[in-house]
Amino acid sequence: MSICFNRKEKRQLNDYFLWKRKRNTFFHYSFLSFYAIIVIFPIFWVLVNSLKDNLEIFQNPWALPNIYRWSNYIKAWYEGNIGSAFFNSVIVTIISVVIVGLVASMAAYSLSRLQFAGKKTIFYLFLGGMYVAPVTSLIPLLKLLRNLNLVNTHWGLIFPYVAFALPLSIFIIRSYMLGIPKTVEEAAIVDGVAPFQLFWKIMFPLSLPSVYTVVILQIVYIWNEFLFALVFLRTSNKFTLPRALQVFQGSFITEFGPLNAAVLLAAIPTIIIYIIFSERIRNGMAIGFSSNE
Amino acid sequence: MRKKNNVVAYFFLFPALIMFVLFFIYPNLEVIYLSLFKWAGISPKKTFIGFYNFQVLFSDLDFLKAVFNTLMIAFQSMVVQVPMALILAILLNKKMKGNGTFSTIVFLPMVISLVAVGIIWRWLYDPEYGAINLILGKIGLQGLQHAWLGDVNTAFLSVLATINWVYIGFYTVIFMSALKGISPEIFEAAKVDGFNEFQTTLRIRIPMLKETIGVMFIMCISGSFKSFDLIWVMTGGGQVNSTEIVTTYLYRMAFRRMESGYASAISVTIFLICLVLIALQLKLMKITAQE
Repeated sequence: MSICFNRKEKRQLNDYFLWKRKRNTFFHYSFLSFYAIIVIFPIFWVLVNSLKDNLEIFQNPWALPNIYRWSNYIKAWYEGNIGSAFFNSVIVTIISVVIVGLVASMAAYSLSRLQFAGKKTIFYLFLGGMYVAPVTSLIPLLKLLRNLNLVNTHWGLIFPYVAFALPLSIFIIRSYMLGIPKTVEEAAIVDGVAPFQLFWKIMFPLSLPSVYTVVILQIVYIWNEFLFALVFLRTSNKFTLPRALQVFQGSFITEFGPLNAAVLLAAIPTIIIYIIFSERIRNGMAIGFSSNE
Repeated sequence: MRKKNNVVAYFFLFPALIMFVLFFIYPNLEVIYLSLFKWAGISPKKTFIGFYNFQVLFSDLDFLKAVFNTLMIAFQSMVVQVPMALILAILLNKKMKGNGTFSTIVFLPMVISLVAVGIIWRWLYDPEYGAINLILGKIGLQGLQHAWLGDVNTAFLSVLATINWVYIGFYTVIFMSALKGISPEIFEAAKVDGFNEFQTTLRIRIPMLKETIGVMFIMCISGSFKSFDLIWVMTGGGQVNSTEIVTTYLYRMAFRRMESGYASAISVTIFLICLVLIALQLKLMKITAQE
């Protein structure tokens, strides 16, 4: 049985589908634009008002600044301690992610390629570590750092950061290594590469894409970490950015311009990294939940 | 060939293991021991009191209020964030111009420091100069203007709105990758059967994503037991504990009131809740793997 349409009916049908497509497109773009505005607006508002003084903010918060007061940024950087915190954050983040990248890929190599006693236990220990709240170990960690004389030092932050970054990092690199064919190593062994060198010469270079994912993800996480910095750091010359920002908020509460500038200075590095590596970061953060092992 | 290779394996595991055991496992075990003492934290003097801390804890109304608030955040995430994320993911997975940019924007809040987010939103909610009250004034809704974070009745809702702003993008990304796993033929078939978008979502997408949604719900609970930064910066727990959650209560007990033994008991409780959730989550994910 076939249905025949005359020309008029065909045109009506065509119009109907066209209208329906247009309606769907309209809904698609208006919904997404609306949501995008909700996301962007607060950031934009902070940006615009970071370049004004209090009077301008109160009189006309919506307008673009008449004079661009970059002095707000200078004030936040020097008087507000954001500059020194910025450098502290850079140091703590870089040292932490370098250690995480190396240590996690070594462990991932064992867990993906070698057979050894206790493998299952160790794997589940790390896997479980992905889901434990950092806050539960806060009190004993502080006690431990006190005994090691690491309270109010950057190493006192770096060691816990590395420990808490390991589970997810090992998980990501291990999954990647499992996907590398074993024939690659077998060929290397035939060529005379010693078992100890297999990691450095073959597996580590081959799994670099996953190591990069780990490093970029951990840069974002560690740059933004607040709770440990709040408890383990005491003096402002050691503060990392989130910690300095929180103190800054308390003392500059009435100076909106510099406060906004400080917020942006803390947020911009991760935003830039995200814009460059957006796909990698999004997939990395979602990895623990969508991968079925 | 399944040769055991203990020496080499432990050589490569050693650095990770020593860090993990010392700074992760050991503290998480010691906290159980510490929870059995009355202890001020700074002083070396500890008094053994058995499970007394836990007895007090479960009749501590402030703690129970904090647990209630924490669970409300989790519940709210399930009914607001997850459905919203599903809608966004469906739209973003379509082959339409601009979707790449939209995906980037939707996830953006996830990479900003929560302290910065807290300060930004505190200012948006400011009763006099905040954008929200200014907008309400402009569109003639002066009646709704409000001290959003200062009022006990709206403080919690205001914090929830900010939490949604941050995390909807996260769930969207998970949904986007899960949706890509459904074979396109199923959608073709649905189209032939005359399903519209809404019916397709209800009858095909949601049933196919059952496990993903299950894992997400668990994430909502465990996430709410982990969150600290936002609430600490935005309200510090709020007036009459209106926004107090378990973690902020723990912090206050340990570092403001110097009740470290008692705070350790709270830690143990959170740890046990997390353990149950991990078990559930791993079980769910395994079900997915077997099918």
